Amino acid sequence: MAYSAAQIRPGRALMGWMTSEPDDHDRYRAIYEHHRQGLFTLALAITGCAAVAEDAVQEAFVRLWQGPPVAGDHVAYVHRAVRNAALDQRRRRAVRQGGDAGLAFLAAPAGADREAEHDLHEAMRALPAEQLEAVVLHLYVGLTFAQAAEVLGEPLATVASRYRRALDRLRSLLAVRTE
Amino acid sequence: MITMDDADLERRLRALRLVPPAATLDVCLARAWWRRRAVPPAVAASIAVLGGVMAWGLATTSRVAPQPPAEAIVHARTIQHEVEVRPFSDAVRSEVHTTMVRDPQLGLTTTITQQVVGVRFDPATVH
Repeated sequence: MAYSAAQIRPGRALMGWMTSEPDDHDRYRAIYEHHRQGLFTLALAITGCAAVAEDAVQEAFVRLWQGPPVAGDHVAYVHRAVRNAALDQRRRRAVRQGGDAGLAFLAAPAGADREAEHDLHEAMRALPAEQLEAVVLHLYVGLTFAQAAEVLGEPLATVASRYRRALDRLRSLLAVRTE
Repeated sequence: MITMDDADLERRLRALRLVPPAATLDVCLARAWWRRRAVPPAVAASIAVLGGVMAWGLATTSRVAPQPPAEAIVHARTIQHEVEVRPFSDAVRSEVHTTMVRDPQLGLTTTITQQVVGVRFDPATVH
């Protein structure tokens, strides 16, 4: 289900407080408790800064709590709200995306597979932003392609195609590295 | 050259460790949540306090009923007016109260008696 801009626009606190249902609040809390890692990962992948990502998640939930009740897939809706908040934060704080910013959600390689992890990091760093976002949403945030499409506001086939191309590119990059 | 299928590649990608959110995020959200939720209870508490005060006021007011006859009230006010200009005396305060209640002519009720209790005066001036 696609949401209009008005549905995810912040503000209207009083109206939202009067109209939002307690059921929605409890649902948002449950979603946060279950998806907190994925939500933070999504925000961190966009902002490249943990503190800014936390602000984005918090801001998104405050907006959700203040907003009107929504229908449809709440999980996708919450992720979309967090993504929008993260994009706002990035614009507002002029956080530069580039370098390691896109992979800030990944911990530094360590342990016995450090070298293999490093290769994966390098390969992912070479992905176009759109493909990387598809990988993040599906693999690390744990959304279905349908949910990811809803979060991105793109057709499902587009998101699935980006993911497919990302895997192909990663595979080829890793093959080159191991030759 | 190592080849891998999608499932293997996905497994390797999923195995990468993620940066966890800080515990402060939970705290911030909890604070935001309670700030959000704090308004209705505060309003409810205010309403409850106001309601309690109003209920107390009504209950207090209702204790004066039944109202005394109109002529008795007038008479009591007259007495009160008279004693206010007399010399004070703490020692006779209760006596004055008792005297007034026993007065058959006035037919004073408890309410009327309470209006003059606390006014300290010489009982000799009442009659």
